[in-house]
Amino acid sequence: MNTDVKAAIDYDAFRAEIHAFVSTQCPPDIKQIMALNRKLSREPWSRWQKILFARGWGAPNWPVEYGGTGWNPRQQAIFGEVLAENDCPPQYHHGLRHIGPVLIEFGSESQKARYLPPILDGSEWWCQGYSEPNAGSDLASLKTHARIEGDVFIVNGQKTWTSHAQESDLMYTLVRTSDETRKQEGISLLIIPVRSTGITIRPIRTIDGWHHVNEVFLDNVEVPLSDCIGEIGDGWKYGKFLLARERLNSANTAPLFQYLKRTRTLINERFSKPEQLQRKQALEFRLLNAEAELRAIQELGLEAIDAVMNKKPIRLQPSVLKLNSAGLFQAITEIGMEIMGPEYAASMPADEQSVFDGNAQAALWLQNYFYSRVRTIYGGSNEVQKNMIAREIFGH
Amino acid sequence: MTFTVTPIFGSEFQESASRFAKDAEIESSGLLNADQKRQHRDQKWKEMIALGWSACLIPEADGGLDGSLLDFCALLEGTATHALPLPLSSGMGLPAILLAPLRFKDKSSLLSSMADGSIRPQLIYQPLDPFLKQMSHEMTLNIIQTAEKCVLQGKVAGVERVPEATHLLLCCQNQDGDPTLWLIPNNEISPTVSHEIRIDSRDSLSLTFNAQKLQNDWCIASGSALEASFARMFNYGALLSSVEAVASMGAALEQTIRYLSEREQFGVTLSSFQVLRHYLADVYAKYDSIRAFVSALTRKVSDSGEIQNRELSLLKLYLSQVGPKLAHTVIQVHGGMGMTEELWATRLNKRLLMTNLEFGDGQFHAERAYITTKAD
Repeated sequence: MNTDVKAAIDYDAFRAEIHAFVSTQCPPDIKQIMALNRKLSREPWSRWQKILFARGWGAPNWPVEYGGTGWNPRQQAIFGEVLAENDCPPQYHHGLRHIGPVLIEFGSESQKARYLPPILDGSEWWCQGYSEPNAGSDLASLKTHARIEGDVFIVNGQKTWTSHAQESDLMYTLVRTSDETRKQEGISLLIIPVRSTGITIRPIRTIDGWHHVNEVFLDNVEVPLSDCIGEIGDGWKYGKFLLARERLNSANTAPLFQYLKRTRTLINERFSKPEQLQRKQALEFRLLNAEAELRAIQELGLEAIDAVMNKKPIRLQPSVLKLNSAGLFQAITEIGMEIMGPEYAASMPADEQSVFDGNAQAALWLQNYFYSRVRTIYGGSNEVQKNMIAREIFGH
Repeated sequence: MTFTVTPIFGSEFQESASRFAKDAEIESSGLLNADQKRQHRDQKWKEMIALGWSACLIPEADGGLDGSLLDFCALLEGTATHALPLPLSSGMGLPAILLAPLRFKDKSSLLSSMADGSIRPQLIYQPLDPFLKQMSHEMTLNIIQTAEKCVLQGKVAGVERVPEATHLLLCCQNQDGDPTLWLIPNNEISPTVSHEIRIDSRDSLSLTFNAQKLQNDWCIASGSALEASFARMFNYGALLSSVEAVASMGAALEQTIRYLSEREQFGVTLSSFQVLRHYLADVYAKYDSIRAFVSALTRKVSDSGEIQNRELSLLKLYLSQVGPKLAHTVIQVHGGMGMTEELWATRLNKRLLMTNLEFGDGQFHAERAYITTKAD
């Protein structure tokens, strides 16, 4: 650990300060959503962001001059841990962690003035227009096209797997502005209001019964040239910058520890009869195996944060953390599914809006089981992570 | 450039230990029969003593080098990268760790003799508490201790042999269930001894004691202090074994990745096949995690001097998931070569598989973690 930094900051006191605030100031209804593993929608999420913003903690990862806290990576990690430990939501990522840092680094002064403050106070919500029907892991193959006419881009195409589009105000969108170069070039990053004329949002029903993701159709959508971030044609560079900022996300294992704890509680609740003892113990042992791996992932995450603090290169840890933690989360939800058993598996809610008259808590375990499958797909699928690890260890 | 291991305890100790083990491996590769190999191992053990490794964990005031736990781990990590088939941990580390908290007559003299190698203790123990006893299938030691006489009876199997040991350092209960620790001169006793080779090519012993008379003054410690010290030593044993396991895993990965990068089939290197790349990426990811866990826990223990049972058991439990998985993957991707004795990775693998069984296997540690979870 960097001893200079350690000497200057009392991390225990910092942790205690965060705990004192979030454990008392996060509204109980929001905590309840987290404790029950419910899906978090915009209203409670932005309400929580406003509370943090009022405390001066609107953007833990932003520099002070843009309204951030200026915290170092260790402080940011502690903040994330304490939120999870207290059943408080993590901050909404698309604005604060994705497009916010890109705007700070590459945006014009007018873009920063217009878009950063509403991210900070939680009044404006963003989504990501990246994936397309034929551009998933191979994102550079995207086809959504923007041509310049006067002082606007005219955008046509289709985005897919666009999470939160149904409740967002703005979409940061990768579009092709030139076909004449290699596919990673000729891509630009545009800011597009989701309610622009020519945009149609169609929900995609996913296996968990929740509404996360959408298809977004763009039909002659007009976007002012001034809403292109950075240089036209350099969008791929900004997209990579964005992903690099996300690399240590999986280092925060506190949400997984919370999920593990809830699963252990569920075992105790569901198997209290003497005749259930063997099944109970078998499930508890499986959970111990998961906990053992989780402790290892936790230490790797701390090691990676230390490396960043000491300005050492981190190459493989982000992929390893993502790969291992995604699989582990699925393993824990699989245990949860077996705890619920066949009778509850027969009571899946029809969809997010349906009035469900069964056991709502049980339904949430089922939904989380299905939702967990996406962990090994989004943010670079397991296969992509393995390709990245292999490229590094084999040197090609 | 292909993957190369970054040592957890990188230092001059680690580097010199690694060189020593590599040289030993080269020297032994030309030896064909078992006697020659054992003589070579005994010779290397003497050289380790001459290098001062037996003095590493002994205080300076007692003639030792006053090295830290991390220094000793550096030696272990270095030797483990070449699967040195000698009992560095149980022969030079754990006796010092067991004796450190105990008070007994002539302790300083004993430690001093251990440091300079004139006393070379062969550690033998019968787990003391009922939970640890679960691990012993072949342990029937029994000591009858009275004011008039002391008699040792029974059998112990699968003991990791210390070359040319001068004494037995025996820990077991007496007829009243009280823990006792004995320093028994080898030349004063006559057990029936049989020699075996473990799966990791280290020497092992089975000893049978038939009404073996012991002198009362050979008993150097007993009671609750010994019980606590033994429990502590057992945990250190598990931790040191984990350090060796991770060093073996890293070296095996390094060798396997290099092999796949050089070996050609169908006109291309094996490393160009995605299925093999993904196998290796998978086990690398597990290795990276267990490495971080071992590193963090060892440093924590070094700082605090304490090992929490639950933490250690979670580490050993995870090791039991990933160690054999890596070993089996290494064998599989080498094809027929993976089944051969002469392959470096095979020797590393065998050591890795053995560490999984030492100081409690995965099941043992799962049960121990389970019990502590319930107690919490």
